[in-house]
Amino acid sequence: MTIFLLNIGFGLVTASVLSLLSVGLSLQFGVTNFVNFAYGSYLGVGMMLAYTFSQTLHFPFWAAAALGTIFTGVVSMVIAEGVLEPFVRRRKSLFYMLIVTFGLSLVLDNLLQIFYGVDFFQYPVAQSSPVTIGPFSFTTAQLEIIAIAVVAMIGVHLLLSRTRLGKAMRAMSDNMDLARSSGIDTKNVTRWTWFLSGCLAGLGGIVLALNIVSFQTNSGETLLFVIFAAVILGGIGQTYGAMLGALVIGMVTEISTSFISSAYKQDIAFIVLVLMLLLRPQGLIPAKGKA
Amino acid sequence: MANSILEVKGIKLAFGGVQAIDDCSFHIEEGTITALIGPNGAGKSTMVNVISGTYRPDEGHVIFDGKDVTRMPNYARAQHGLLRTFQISREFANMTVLENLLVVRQGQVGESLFGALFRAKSWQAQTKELVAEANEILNTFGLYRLRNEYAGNLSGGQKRLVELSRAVMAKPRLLLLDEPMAGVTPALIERLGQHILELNRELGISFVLVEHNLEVVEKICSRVVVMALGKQLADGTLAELRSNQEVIDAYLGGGARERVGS
Amino acid sequence: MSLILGYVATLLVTFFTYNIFVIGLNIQFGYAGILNFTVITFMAFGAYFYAVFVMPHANNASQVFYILGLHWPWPLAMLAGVVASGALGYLVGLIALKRLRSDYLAIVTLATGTLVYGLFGNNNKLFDGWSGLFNVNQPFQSVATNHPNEFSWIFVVFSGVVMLVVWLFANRLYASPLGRSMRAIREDQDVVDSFGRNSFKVRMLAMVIGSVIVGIGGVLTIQYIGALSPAGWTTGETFVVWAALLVGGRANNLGAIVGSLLVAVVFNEATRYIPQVPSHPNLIPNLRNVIIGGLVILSIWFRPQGVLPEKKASFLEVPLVDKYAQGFPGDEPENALSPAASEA
Repeated sequence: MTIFLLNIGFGLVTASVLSLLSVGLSLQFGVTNFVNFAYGSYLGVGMMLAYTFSQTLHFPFWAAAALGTIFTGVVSMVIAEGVLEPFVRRRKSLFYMLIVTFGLSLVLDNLLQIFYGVDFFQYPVAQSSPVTIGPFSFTTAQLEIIAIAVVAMIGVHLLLSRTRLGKAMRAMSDNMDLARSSGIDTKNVTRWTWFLSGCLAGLGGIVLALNIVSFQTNSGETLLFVIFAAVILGGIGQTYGAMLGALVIGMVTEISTSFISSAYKQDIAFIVLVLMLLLRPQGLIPAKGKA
Repeated sequence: MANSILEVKGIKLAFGGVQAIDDCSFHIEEGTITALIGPNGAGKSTMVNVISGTYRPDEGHVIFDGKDVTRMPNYARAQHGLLRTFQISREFANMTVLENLLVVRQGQVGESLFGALFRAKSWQAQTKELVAEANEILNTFGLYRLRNEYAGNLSGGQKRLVELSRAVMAKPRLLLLDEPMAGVTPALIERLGQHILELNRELGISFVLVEHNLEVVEKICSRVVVMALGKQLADGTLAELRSNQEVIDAYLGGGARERVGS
Repeated sequence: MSLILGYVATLLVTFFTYNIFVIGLNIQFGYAGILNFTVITFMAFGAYFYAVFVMPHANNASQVFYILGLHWPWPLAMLAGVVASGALGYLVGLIALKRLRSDYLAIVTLATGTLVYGLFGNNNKLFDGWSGLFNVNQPFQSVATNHPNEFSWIFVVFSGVVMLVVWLFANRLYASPLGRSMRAIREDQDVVDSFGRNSFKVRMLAMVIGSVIVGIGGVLTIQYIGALSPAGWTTGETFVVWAALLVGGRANNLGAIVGSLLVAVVFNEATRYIPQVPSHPNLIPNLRNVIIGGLVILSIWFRPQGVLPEKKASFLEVPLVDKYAQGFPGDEPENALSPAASEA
């Protein structure tokens, strides 16, 4: 029983990491209407940039993490402007957009390996002894991860509900033509969406690295389909759905380790994905005109 | 009275709380050209999707040729001769016009894997016949010259004609045309109307047209079904409906009249 | 001389097997528009299942573990490997070929790849984990006894024949009504359905046929090398196949051959001779992948139809003798069927 409760705690941590990542992917998907298969590589960009800022340039870790987050956003925006949007403007079909992002993931992964090699890295944060809260037990880093995720989710919520940019993003996600004809600067909103999506991917990568402590450039790569699972679970393009999806996937995968080997965590996520696709492909919160 | 080839009974369908079709019933007689008209949002296109099997209704039945097809997937309905076209032209862009037609004929030997691999002689001969047949059809639609063009390279009007000739190639018994005249020049509207009349007369194909242009309706449709707010409001000839106050209020009357004609 | 002969033989076998991979992917993507982002998993499935059917029972004393070990004759084991690959294709298709957006299928293939990779790698009992299988029984060993090159050249002929059969099969499929349905589904699945074809079935057929063909290539690979470990099947390999197809020309099997010659043989071999940088042992493979990824993106930008684009279908036909053999109705004068248009 205690292990079960402990795993619920870990589920909360995993869900926190996933929530950042799935919201980032979902926001971008909603606005641009194609999946970015290079998203997994953005995690690597974030975690490695934060490493460089803190270890090589000797920034305090929180500043390095903030810079890593923002720079990943910039990388995402630059790639979108330089590579992806030109393809969109040429009206390449969905097929080709997916292949382009897929090709991009290969380029980015290997560029990261050229710069950072295949070694394992660690952030210069002291490993504290676990803190016990009720039945749960967390490291300080894990508590910080949960806090970061909660703050980020509130931030996303405020952005979407209170700001013009956020409202424009929602409008574009609901109906692109309507949004364009009602005077929304769709180009600009798309640009900021890519930035935001990149920031969340970078931040997600950094907290993922914090959670697993020792990481490689491609540590985020295998997480890609778990993120997809959370996004599809929530209803593709649905931001709040993505949060819910992250919570479910995070909890289910961690709780499953009470019963089966943790080596099969991802398989559990895959099973959830498959069940979802077979039974309710539109997601828990279906979006109009998608799926 | 002729046999009814299609009957919809008590169809209900809601999308996320919006009742798109609300207890709608009507029937289509064999060998007629029937118009399905009604103001925007009346549920006409939704009804076409229900009849063709793209949507499954929450309640009610679709009966085609005496058979209840409500639970049948769209491709199975098409195999029985219940075919549709779409509001926008959906040609197979990277295939030639001729191929567009060849694809849709059912019952070809080379459709199964076994047939494709081991009965090549047989399907090659069959294809030859189908090419001749398709060329005939393309010729009547004035597309013969363009038969080896990629369908994606044609003009909007030409694509409309490809859609119709493709539907003819599939040998339908009932053809649902979802706004076939939308975005088409007046000259082509004439032409399409003529084709529909000829197909009806010569091949005995029954038609259901979703159409806004009442002039077209008047010219080629022998019967009109009016829908409003997801219900069947009235049916009869256009002349009869002109004197029906309900129909006038819902659709024909007021400003809608001019808009519809333009 | 013998060294060069051996090298040429290996090049030819590589060329033939990549042709087979590219033709397999071509049937999935070029014909039917199915995005398979884990070609390599199907290749590995074919190879591994061939291995465990052809190898003798695992000898636990040697600390090498694998399932089955049935010691079947190699043609039967080859069949088993191919069936396994096709079965995987069927399973993936069952999940993702329902009427869903094409993103979902791509996601499911990607997820399947990640999963199978982890499952095979982490599980020592299945296929000996990360160290992979070696000493896999090769065919023709009883005939080729005199010189190592003898096996290589027999295998060149064998793989060449297999490739030829696959090639003829793919071309016949393309020209057939079934192939035409596949291409129509690639263009617009809904329309094909609305004309009475069960597009799910046709797409599934393309998925399974493609998987089977990729599986054949996988079996040939392990037959020739005699060993395969998960380290050899990375995303990069999938990309080589994709790049070859896109560069060569989708939906054109001749293009597939040109593509695999350019990408899998010429490019891959050329980069093999760049000297290693001792401090960065991975630099060359990494750069190669960057270029392959770039090639995929650039070919979609500059020449999405490939070096050899899809051929326009032409049919032997008797010209229509008809006085009405006419042009587009827009060309002719309007014959007013009705009076003014503002009457309704």
